[in-house]
Parts: sequence; structure tokens; C-alpha cells
Amino acid sequence: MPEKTKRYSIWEKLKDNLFILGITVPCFLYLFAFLIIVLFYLLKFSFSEGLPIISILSEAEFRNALLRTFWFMLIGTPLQLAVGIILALLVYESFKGVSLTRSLFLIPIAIPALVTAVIINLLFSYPFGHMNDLLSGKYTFFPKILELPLNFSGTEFFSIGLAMLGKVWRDMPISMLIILAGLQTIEKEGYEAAQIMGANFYQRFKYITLPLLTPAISTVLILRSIENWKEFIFPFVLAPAYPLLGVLIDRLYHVQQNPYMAGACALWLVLFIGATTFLFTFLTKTVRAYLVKV
Amino acid sequence: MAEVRLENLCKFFGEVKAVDNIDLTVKDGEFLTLVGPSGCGKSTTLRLIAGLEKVTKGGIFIDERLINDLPPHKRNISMVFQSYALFPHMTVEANIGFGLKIKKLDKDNKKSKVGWALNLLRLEGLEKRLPRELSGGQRQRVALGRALVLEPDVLLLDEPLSNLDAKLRLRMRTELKRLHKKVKTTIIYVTHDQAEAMTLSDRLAVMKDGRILQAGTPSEVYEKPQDLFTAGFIGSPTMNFLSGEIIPFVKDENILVGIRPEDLKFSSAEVPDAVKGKSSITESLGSDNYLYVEVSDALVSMRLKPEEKIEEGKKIWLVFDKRKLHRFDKSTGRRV
Repeated sequence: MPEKTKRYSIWEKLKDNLFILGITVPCFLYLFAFLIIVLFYLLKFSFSEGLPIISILSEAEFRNALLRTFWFMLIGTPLQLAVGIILALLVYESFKGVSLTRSLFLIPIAIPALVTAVIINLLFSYPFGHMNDLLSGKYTFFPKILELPLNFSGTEFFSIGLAMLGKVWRDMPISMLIILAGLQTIEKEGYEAAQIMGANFYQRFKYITLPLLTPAISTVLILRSIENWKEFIFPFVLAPAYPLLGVLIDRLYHVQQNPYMAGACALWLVLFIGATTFLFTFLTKTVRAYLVKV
Repeated sequence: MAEVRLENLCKFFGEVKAVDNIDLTVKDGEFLTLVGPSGCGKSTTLRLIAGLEKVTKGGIFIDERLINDLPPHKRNISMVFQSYALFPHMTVEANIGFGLKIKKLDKDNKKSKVGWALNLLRLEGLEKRLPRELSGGQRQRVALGRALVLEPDVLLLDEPLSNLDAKLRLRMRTELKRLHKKVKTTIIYVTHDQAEAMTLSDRLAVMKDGRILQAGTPSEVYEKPQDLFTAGFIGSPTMNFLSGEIIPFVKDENILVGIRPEDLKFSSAEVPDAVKGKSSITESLGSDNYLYVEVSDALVSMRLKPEEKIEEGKKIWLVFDKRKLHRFDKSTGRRV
């Protein structure tokens, strides 16, 4: 006689998995409850009377901030990736003092972003910042380049550039650590095998390092692009005259007391973050598939 | 195919002499094995031939051409690593074709060569699989295919079977022999497993502390080991060593006598020139049984015929096959 399969009721299944449920449900509640509240208010404000989600598109301030943030993300993200790869390659090889060097490279992340932004502001302030002093020949070790001091925060190019410089400098250890972890998973014998087969440094990087590093690169691109889209502190301190979306949301909400427009702006920001994440995932997958073709 | 000659080859890592004055010639189409314990310098020798390490002193010649300063890819050699070193993100086909891609071979040529390797190594049907989707033996064959497809003059194999289980290792041994017969490439093989060295090689070189102690055919090395280390390293179970003074027909305290388990017989009654001992445990390997005999303070192993049985703790006499006796100088360890 074949043994009858015992059928479990939902209640019995729940009872069997009580411990797993007990430890996972609070996590999900913590994560999703807060997310749902935020999304609820974003949607509520964005789709309130007058449809701010649509009307904000005709606001010049929003369009300019969107364009600025887009460029900030588009240039800043690959820049952070490149800096991360260079630093990771530098500290990847083992040499005397490698641990100390790695620790030194982690210092920027330990300094609060606001402090970094204020220091950059002081360095580049007009007319008596250190950079102006340096370029005006006030320090004997450096030649005089400028006749008149430069107002760095007076132009969009320089002030957004300074914000990007601060952002890249401060967050470089994050990209470095992710890339370094990726590099350390690659077997050294693979490189030796490729070397024997005639692959030069560039070919080894292209066909072995790069494809094997794509998960790490993809992580850096996605995390950094999200961070760049929603950046607040550096542009707030260094480019107040040229707000990015993060600064604009704050301004709409706190200064102009307009939560509806602020909500609509934030919802667009979330949508752009989603689109960029999708794009970078697709891009890295396509590049990897191309690199591993026979 | 090519002849490889190592002349006074040395490799030092600081004070450590990893390879110490090696002289060795590997003939055209020969299968030579470097065998020795871990850290004896066999893998370093292979890496020197491959060009992955810089030579400290001496020369490496392939077909009389000094290759010391040639980069690895200009030596026309291929290497299979212990870990296989397959590219985990590439399919079997892409792994095998990688070297050809680097050499910029045209598509049709590349396809036919990869097809040849897949066929030679019985990998058809697995072309699109990734290394992680293959068994250990299949990965091993992909690594061999990747090396052979480049038609190297010399194929270097660094302990390629050591990651496989015992059964698969035996199968791959046969496979390697078949391959060598078919492609006739000069092969330099590195292993610490003496059984592998004995069964695969045309010749083998026993290494210790960066030096080659003896090089010869497996039977030469087995039957006439030139020193104590080689005598003890080659053969399983290992050779028995007894002090000359306890053996009636040797009676020399400066001599250490070596005798292989299969060259010993036992007698229950005292016979001339035999050595007295006490039977200890018996090990059965199925086809062979081995008896361990306590002689003085040593434990001597001997092979028993399948029908021979002996109880533990019995007094017996060990009879030596005098033609198969190996005598070594106790102080130098060299054969006398």
C-alpha cells in the first residue's frame, strides 16, 4: 500500500515556520512600513489638486535643476568608478605598507560630508581663499597665474565642479572597497594562463578583469548614480545659486512651503533613479556579454 | 614538438634556493615527470620553463635556443595549472578558443581548431556550458583542450590531477596517456604522487630541496634508486630499510639495506641468511595482502600471496631475495 502523503493546512505550515516568521516579519515591517508611508505622501502630494507632477515640468527652476543633476550624475558616476578602479588597483598588489595605505585611503569617508564641503568652500572662497592666494602668487613656491582673484562660486561650471570634486573625494573609499573586493575574487592563475597564451596587459584587463569585475562595477555604478541623483550637502554648500534636485526639494518644502511641488519633484527623482538603475544594469550586462564572446 | 634542456638552472627567492643547479634534458616528444614532495622546487622549475618566474642563474633551451629572457607567449609552450585556471565567465568553447582569439585567428580557422580540441577531449555537447556547470574531470579536459589547441612545442602540466577524486584520477591518467600518444607533444609533468609519475612517464626526475636526485625511466628509478630518498619515495608501500648489522649476509654497520615488500618471503622455521621477526598486522588491499613484521625496532612490510595467511604475534623468519637488495652508505645516503 503506498503511504498517504500527509497534507498540511496553512495553520500547520505557519506553526512549522513560526521561528523564521518571527525574525523576518519585523524586518519587513521596518523596511516596508516606512517605505509605504513615504511613497503614500509622495503620491498624495504629486497627484493632488492641479496635478503638481505634471505642472512642475513647466517650471524653469525644476527643468534647470533636473538637467544639472543629470550632468552631475552622468559625469560624477563614471568619475567615481574610475577613481575607485585606480585606487583599488593601487592597493590590490601586496607591498610593504599595503594595509596602512588602504587605511589612509579610507580617511575621506570618516570625515563628515558637511565638514569636507565647508573646507572646500574655504579653500575656494572669493577673494581670499587659499586657491586664489596660491594662483595670485602669494605663496613663494608657486608662480603667479592670476592677476585678479577668481570667483569660483560665481559660475555654474565651477561651483557644480567643486561640488562634484568634493563628492568624488569624499566617497572614493566606497567605490575603492567594492572594486577591491571584486578584484580579490579573481584567481591570479587565470592571468598567468592568459599571459602564456599571449594576452598583453590591456587584453588581460579587457577579457578577464573587466568581465569578472562587472558585478562590482555594476554595484558601484548603481549605488553611486543613486547617490549622485539625490546629492544634497555638497551642492547645498558649494553651489547654492545653482541647485540640484535635492537642494530644490529642500527649497520648495522649507523655503517656499510648497509640499506639493516638493513631493512632485521628489517623485520625479525616484523615477529617474529607477530608470538609471535599469539602464546601468542593462549596460553592464551587455558589455560583459560582448567581452566573453568567442 | 621540441627538446627542452635545463643547464645549471637556479632560482633563488632571497636566501631560499627553490631550484638549485638543475641539469636536465627532455627529449623531443618525451613525457617527463618531475616528482617530489611539496616544496621540492618542481613547480618552480615548471614556472621557470613557462617564463612565469625569472631565472636567477643558468639557462633554459628549447631546441638549442636560449629562452631565458623570452616572454611566456614567445616560447610556444602551454601550461595546465593545478586549479585549471579556467576563465569562470567564459563558456567551454570560449575558454578553449581564448588563445586563438588573442592570436587573432580568422573565424573559420578558430572554429575548426576548437572543434578539433572538443573532439579530441570528448567535450562535444558541452560547448556552451560554463566551468561551474562542469564536473572536475570535464574542467580538467577543458584546461587540456585550451592548452593543446595552441599546438605548443612543449606542454607543461602542474599537478593537473590533484584536485580529482581517486577514481577520476585513474581515468584521467589513462586519458593523458592516450592524448600523449595522439599529439606526441613534449610533456613536462609535475606531481607529488609517485604512482602517477611511474604510470605516466617515459622518464621521471626525482626532486628534493631544489635538486634533481635521479632521472631515468620508471623501472630504472624503481629498480636502481641511487639514494635513500629516491628509494623511499618511489614505490608503494615504501621500501623497507634495515641496518646492515642485523642482516646475517651483510654484517656491516655502515650499510643500510633496502628491500621492497615484494622481494621478501617468510618462513615459519629458521632458514640460513634469514632475519627473525614477529608477525604484526595484515593489511588487505583486495588483490594484495601486506604483512607487517616487527624486526628489532623496525616495522618491515612484505607482500603476501593471496593464499598465504599468518596469525598475529607469531615468530617468523624473513627471507631476502639477494638479487633485489639495495645497499646504501649510512653516512652519505648514496647507493653502494
